[in-house]
Amino acid sequence: MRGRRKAVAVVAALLLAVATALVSGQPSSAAGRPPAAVTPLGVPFLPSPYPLEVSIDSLVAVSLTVEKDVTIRLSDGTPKNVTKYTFTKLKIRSHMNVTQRADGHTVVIDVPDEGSLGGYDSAGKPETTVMWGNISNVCVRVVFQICQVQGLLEFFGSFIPLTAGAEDFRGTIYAIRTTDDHAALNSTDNPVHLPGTITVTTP
Amino acid sequence: MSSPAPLRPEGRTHWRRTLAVAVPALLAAGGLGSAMATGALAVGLRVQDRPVDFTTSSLYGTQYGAAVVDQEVVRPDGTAGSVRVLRMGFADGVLNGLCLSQRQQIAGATYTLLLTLGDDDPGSWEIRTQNTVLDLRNATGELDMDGIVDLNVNGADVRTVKDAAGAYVPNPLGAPQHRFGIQARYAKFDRITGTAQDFQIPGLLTTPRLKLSVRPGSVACPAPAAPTGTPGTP
Repeated sequence: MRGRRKAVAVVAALLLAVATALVSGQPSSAAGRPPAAVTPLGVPFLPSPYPLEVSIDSLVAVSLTVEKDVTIRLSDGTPKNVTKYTFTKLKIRSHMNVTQRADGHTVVIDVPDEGSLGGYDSAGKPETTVMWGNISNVCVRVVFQICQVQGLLEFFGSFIPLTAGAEDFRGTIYAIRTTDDHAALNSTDNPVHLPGTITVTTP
Repeated sequence: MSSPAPLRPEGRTHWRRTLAVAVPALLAAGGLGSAMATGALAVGLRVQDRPVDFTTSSLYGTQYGAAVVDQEVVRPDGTAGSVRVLRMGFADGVLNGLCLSQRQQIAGATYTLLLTLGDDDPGSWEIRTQNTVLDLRNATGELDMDGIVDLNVNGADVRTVKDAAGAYVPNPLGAPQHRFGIQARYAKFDRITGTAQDFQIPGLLTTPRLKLSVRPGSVACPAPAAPTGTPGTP
């Protein structure tokens, strides 16, 4: 009898849920809004005006190239003079944190150990990761340790090898694009691999 | 010697006890607000109003987008408010098992409504979906993205679903301007444990095995198993 009564209760709950369904509408997410009137400049898309604070304790990449004085346009129409950094095969060796503090919320992506922001595509070609913003610190040990991009440029020229790794990456980044030219369904070697936590908090 | 109490007939209905089980179940189900509607395709699922904990072995989909949006909530004191959440959307997707768990306080007692979909095979992505929308407060697991992956896209510019004419629906996630957004061709999230403010799968293209139960106390979804193999074509 006890089991039967429980079964009745569960069936009743199901019936109520179905009844709820019949009066529920379509997803509330499809609230159409006109797209932003401004058009992208310097970046293929319009970044949010709130930058990402990116830190990576240890990373490795095939190379880093730097293009200074690039003007980009943010989604609120504001132009911004930034530097464009292009990495190939960028891997996180330990702890990446990406934080956006905006008016009314904070978004955090935290990867405590290894991860990836680019790898090899299915054709074996290194993928690229482009960042637009300002890298304030990245330490590379050559003969001695250099922790500024300008110092690395003066030492290496425009092509900075990072195959030996780099530490203490800190940057204020407005936009990141990772490109896999040979992406395909069923691909398991995804360029962006972030084992960690994503959190949104409201103050 | 007192006379014995009159015997009650066997098999009678104990309405008080029945109500003690049924009322919390009904209230919990109503509070969860899960919607299962038989439609032209198959079944839809919607969970809203209150945070729900969830786990899935894997969620894989195409034309993935995410944006920070405002989600209306009812506070514990009954007043209305809003919180910011990361709204994720997939045009087409497959799920490898799904468990939702929501606790309710009813008459001073805690009940948990558990809803599970899918089979127990970590190698099968048995739940096919369309236009999946998930409002995340937090999620832990492996977040993989492929194709062209953009971070900090203006949330209102994110694109996921197309209309009948084949054009992308503008701002399908309903994001205000200048919010954080993500856009990727493919996304695969494995062994996810998280809390969602809103869960919408309006088009379940396959009808998965569904189990709904009300348990006394606080009961969590089991830890998600690692998926095996590849998900196939959504």
